[in-house]
Amino acid sequence: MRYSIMLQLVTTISVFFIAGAALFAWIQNRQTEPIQSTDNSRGGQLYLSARPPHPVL
Amino acid sequence: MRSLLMRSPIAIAAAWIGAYILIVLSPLVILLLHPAPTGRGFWLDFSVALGFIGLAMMVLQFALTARIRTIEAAYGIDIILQFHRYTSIVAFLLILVHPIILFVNDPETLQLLNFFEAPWRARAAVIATLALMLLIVTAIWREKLRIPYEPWRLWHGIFAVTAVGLGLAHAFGVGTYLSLFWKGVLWALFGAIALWLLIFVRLVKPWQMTQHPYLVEEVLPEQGHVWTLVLRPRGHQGLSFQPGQFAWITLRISPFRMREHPFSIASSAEKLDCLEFGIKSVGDFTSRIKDVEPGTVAYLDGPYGVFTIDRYWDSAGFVMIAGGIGITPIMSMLRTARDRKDDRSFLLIYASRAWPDITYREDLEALKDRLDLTIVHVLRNAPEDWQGETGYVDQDLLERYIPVHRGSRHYFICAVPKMMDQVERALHNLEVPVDHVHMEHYNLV
Repeated sequence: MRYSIMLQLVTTISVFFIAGAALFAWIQNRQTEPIQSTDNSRGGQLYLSARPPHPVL
Repeated sequence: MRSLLMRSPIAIAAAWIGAYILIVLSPLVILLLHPAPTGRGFWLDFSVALGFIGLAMMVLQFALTARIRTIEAAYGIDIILQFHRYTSIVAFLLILVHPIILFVNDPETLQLLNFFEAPWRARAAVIATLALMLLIVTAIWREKLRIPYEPWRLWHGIFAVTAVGLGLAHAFGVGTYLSLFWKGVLWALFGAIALWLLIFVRLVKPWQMTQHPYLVEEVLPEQGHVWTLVLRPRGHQGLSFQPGQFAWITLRISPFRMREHPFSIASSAEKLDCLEFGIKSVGDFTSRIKDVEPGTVAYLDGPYGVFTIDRYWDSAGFVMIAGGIGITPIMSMLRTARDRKDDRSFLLIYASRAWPDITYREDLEALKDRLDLTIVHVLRNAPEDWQGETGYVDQDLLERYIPVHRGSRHYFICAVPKMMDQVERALHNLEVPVDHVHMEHYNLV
């Protein structure tokens, strides 16, 4: 039973790791989102990264 | 809070699991603290992350198997070794999935498998993966492949060092993320810790063992194909241990050769000048134990284990359930209780194949005169005139003997894994508190 509990624990930890890896990949690859510039005179779009300069988990 | 963390076994165990998760994820966390480089695509980064996690898990295997007392004291070495087995398989799968995602994501990367034309970092990865594969196969199917323990242990170490060493070389060689300063520092630190643990286990610890040698005093036959190996310390005070603990024994040869075997101590913890180990003749090493000459030099690495009554000093008494050679650590606890004049009640339920196979039978009977000890023998092959219990230690049998106030006792089980599982489940069904049940798997390897 103890080994069964441990197997469940290791499975949970593994899922957590895989989710962490997926989260990491997602954060690294967040799309830069186009934000409409309020300055119409320039007639263009300002592209800002959705990622802060120093992302923190 | 400090008291809770220091004393609660569950809090300590949970803290170690938290530390494990944090260490494994630390390479990714540190990356996210940096201004991130341009993303290279989800699947590529996911694959790299899995590789980093798998490699960090592999590095931590060195810590899990280094017999570090502070970690071992939280769980017991059998639990840590089982965790080591499970997490090794997970690490292997993550490391295997890492290149598979790359190959599916970008089939051109399959060229990296061309060993002779691929860059050195890819070759390192291929050799590391093959070493890991061999490591896993020989560990899971060692008995089926009929690999003797001693050469297996040697090759297990070689495969592990190859896999982790070349895995780290591969990570540094690719260098996509390791070019970041703190990331490089972290992996260098991981490598240095793994190297130190290797040096500690292979050199420092064996050297410490040579400073505390023992001499074999005698080898005594017991019932049930068991031998008692008696050791006496030479030039030092002996091993201070808690009853129920075990040690790794090196016989005849230098401890630097790493050919040691774990055995439970059967003698009293109150007698440091004379250690007794109960050894059943079943394997390649144990079948030769009877031929060990008095005066043979022995070295010990220990004591280890949390299977001891000393951790539960306020318990009203103890229920001990043994099967076959599983009696050895329990014998140590009973002998120690006798020497300490422990007035608490002890119930021993002892399963054996047949009456002549009951190890320490006479010694146990003698202990009844000095302790509040009740012994219930359970025989699988009982003689016709046998009036006692027969068959297996099941729920009905346990219910007849264990106290009504289940939580007033602590329960110690040591037997073959199948029996331990059955007894543990039965105790659970009988509403014995889960934290009052303690077990030790004696087949560590």
